[in-house]
Amino acid sequence: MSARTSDNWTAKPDVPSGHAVSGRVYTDADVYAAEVDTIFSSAWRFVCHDSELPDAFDYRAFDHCGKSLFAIRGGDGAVRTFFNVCSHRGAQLLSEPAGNAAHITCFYHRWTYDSRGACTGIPRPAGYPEDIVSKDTMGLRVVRTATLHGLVFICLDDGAAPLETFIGPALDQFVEMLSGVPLEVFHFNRAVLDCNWKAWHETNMDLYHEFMHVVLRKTQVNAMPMEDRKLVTFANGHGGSGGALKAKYDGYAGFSGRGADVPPLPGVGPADFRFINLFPSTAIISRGTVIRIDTAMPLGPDKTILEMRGLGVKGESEEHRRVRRRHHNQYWGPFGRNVPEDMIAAESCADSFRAGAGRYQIIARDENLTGQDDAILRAFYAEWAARTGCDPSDP
Amino acid sequence: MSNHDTMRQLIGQGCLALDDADFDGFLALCTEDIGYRIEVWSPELRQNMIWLEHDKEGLRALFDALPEHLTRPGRLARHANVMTVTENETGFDCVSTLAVYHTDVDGRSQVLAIGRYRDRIVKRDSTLLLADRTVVLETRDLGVGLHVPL
Repeated sequence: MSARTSDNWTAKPDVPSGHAVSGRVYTDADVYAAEVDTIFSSAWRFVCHDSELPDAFDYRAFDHCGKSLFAIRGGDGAVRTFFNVCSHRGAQLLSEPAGNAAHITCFYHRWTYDSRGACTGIPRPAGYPEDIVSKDTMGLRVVRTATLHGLVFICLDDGAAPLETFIGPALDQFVEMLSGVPLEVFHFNRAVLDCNWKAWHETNMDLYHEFMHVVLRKTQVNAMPMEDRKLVTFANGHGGSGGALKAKYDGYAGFSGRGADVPPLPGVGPADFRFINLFPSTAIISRGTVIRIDTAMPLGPDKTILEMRGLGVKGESEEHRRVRRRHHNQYWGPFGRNVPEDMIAAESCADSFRAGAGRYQIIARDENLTGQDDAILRAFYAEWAARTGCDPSDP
Repeated sequence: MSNHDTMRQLIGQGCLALDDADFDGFLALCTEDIGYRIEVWSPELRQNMIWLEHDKEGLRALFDALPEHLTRPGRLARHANVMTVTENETGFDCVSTLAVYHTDVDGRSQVLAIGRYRDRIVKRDSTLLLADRTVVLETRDLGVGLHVPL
């Protein structure tokens, strides 16, 4: 058979269960509502790196499914997270994405709060019934917050299992890298993409798309035998590299010598490539000398906030930072050789599914957890199905 | 021709060359030791970031690689307006406001980025050349991003 008829095209692919994903998963409003209720309201999600809150009362504001939240370091050193919403009339408390605020004052009626979320001031309180509206009853909505290897996570579900349980051993291969030296974020890029959040996350889970990137065709696909590239999946929908994959940077003009010009991060070689995708929407990727963390957050079924961070060694020399930044920018960032191509791919698939022209994604590569196996995608969708109660191939 | 007009002509030639993907033409306007970078202030990190940085060799390698890369379809149009020209012993420092428009394959145009060029222009063998360029972006969300210098 060559080209397919309408019936052929719209029929569910004849692949094993869990090996195809319906396009409606990326476009359907009911599916999206289920994701918000069962995934983003209950799963732990990375929000920032510990180094973004270096001092007491430093805060970072961010979006979570359209809700504005902020994480703040208290005077006791602990990081806590709150809804960025005044208890009084709902005005947004902090309007900048980052800053320092020992006292948080609502611009609207001057109610004030401290870094523990306690309400510390209500102008002319005598006008309220004291047992109902008072400083004691009007604190901020606190959000569970936990830090693991310098990564700050939040969870809206007060009854969810602890972060360590949720992550399990998924970060083990990154522990030395993340904790062996102090790290800091030197690159941050936030972009709103016209695609579903999963379409972006799939670009991190799908190794087969290496062929799209000329830089990966020249530095990665042929750097080691495919059967030697080990992948691994974990409980709760996480998955990534099973040890170091290799890159040959000399294969791409301008990348020659990469890795010999700055010390690699602890526990890895300069040509090592490691990645872990944490359910639901965070990826940590290391290329020997530099780390990228990206996280996708939906604004709706077909609109996604993507935040991308680049991390280097805190306190390193300006020369080392310059080199590490160059290594980062060679692949990543809005002018990198890789990231814009991934974004084009995510939006392109979204266009097809939005119009109903594309019907299914096929995630049926089976290479026994080596090479470009789709097992990481399948592990993600197994967890997705367990949480949403939807069949990804027929939601 | 005034200094202002001379600088405007050189910076304008650079815009047109990049718009037309005439990368050899753009490099011909640059000194051999040109430094090129794109800087952005991050209110999230409360620090300056460099998103692209190249010397002439790096720019040439980037341009040579472009045909093999997947890029956003359409055309870019760079509009630079030279605002100040300051002459000193070694050349001219110029600040231009910059707007970059993207026109897609269906002919729809929209603003991709705004910012400034901070240029250092020098005279070499009686020819004015771009010796250093910092693109200071105000726009931080570039959508799907791009591979080419602004």
